[in-house]
Amino acid sequence: MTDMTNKLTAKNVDVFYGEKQALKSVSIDIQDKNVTAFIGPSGCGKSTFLRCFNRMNDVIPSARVSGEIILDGVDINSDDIDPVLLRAQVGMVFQKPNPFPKSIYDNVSYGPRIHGLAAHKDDLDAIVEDSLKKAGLWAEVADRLQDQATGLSGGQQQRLCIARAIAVNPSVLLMDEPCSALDPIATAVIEDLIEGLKSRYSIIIVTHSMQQAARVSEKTAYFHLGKLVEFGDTKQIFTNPAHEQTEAYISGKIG
Amino acid sequence: MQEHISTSFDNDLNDLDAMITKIGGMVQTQLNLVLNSLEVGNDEVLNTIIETDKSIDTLEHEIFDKAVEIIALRSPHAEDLRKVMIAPRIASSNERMGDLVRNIAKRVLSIHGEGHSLPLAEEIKSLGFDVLEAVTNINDAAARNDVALALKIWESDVNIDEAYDELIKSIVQLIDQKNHDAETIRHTMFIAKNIERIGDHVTTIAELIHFRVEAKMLSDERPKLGDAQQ
Repeated sequence: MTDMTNKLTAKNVDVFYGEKQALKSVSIDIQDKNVTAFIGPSGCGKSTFLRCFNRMNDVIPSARVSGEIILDGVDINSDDIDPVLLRAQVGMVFQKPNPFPKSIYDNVSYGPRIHGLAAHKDDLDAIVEDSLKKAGLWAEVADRLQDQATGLSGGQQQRLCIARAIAVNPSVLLMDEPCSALDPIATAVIEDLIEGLKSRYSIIIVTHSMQQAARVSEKTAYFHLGKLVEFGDTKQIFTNPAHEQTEAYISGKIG
Repeated sequence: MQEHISTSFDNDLNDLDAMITKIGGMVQTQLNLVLNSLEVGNDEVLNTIIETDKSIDTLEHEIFDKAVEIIALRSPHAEDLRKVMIAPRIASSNERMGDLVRNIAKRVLSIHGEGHSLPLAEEIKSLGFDVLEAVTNINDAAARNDVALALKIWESDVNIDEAYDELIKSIVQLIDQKNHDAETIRHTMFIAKNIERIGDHVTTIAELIHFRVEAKMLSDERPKLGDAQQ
């Protein structure tokens, strides 16, 4: 059964890049162990909002974030939160697979090693194997863990990045267009993986593919010009959206 | 209505609309022709009606194929999806109405072929033209997405049921009078029944138009006559 408690809550979140306001008073509840899709045209603020959940906007000098982001009851923007630890708990997978130019093993073991999650080499081996299994990659790489990660196919590299995120025990996974650089088969593998992962993690996926949002998510949020226009059950959004703007966007109409 | 960014998607949906308008128009014409042939029994017109029904069947298949094609190639959503989903069902209702008209044509041919005339022709025509008006209006409602008109037609089917009920009573009286042969009365009974059934298909189309516009099915609370009509 899906746990319907809220994992993340955003309250009146504004984001500015310099003078430009990219996100306007966005509030949303993200359920635990569920997939939420963020959709909307380019520049609508969906990726900006995604980056609020693990404070990735901190690394952009001109970015200013206000409002609250509550993760398990704690405001992640408060001073006593270490962004590095936060990013272990809220993992991220990017549009383009970005493995380190190291071995497959090192890619997955790097996080657990620096976070001190493994006392012995055996523990680290177990974490690497477990993470690669959860990411659906183990069978393909078990006999070549010391090979260069950059030698893997695009789809394999993306699953390696998912394994790398999983290895540090996150409870939330953020995915920013994780399949846009992949072919349909590799995309289907990732989508199937997301289906499997949602029993353990809260997943938020930003996607430009309407079909992907419809296939993988339980909840869909539609953003336009920095505002959250509509948020609801994915089935409702794609069959009978409440807002004309949402209908126009999902139907491919001129807004 | 807002246009799609993809012109060819709009073209596909417009093609589907045009096919729905065409099949509705064909049934409307067929019904008009058969009603005007009830008394005169014009063989040529009646045979043309029977022959033309095949084109309605073909068009129904084409509408189904077009809907499958749009779903496969365009992945329609929301109102677009509802439009594509109901198109084959509207086509199917029209195809059934076409069959009922063809059946009426065959029965009229049979009555006149035996040298008889259709009894109660005025009453049957009156019922028939009420149904023709409903068919004409439902085609307009479908073309204009006019849910208010569709609901009005849906609610007024009870009047057709009432008129049909009266007609059946008159036909039963004919049996008692013994002025007509049994075969003619049987045909008359079925002609009346077929006209009433066409009215029922019109209400189905009204429900589909409602679904397309409002995104929910009408609950089954349409005013109906009691057991008398059964």
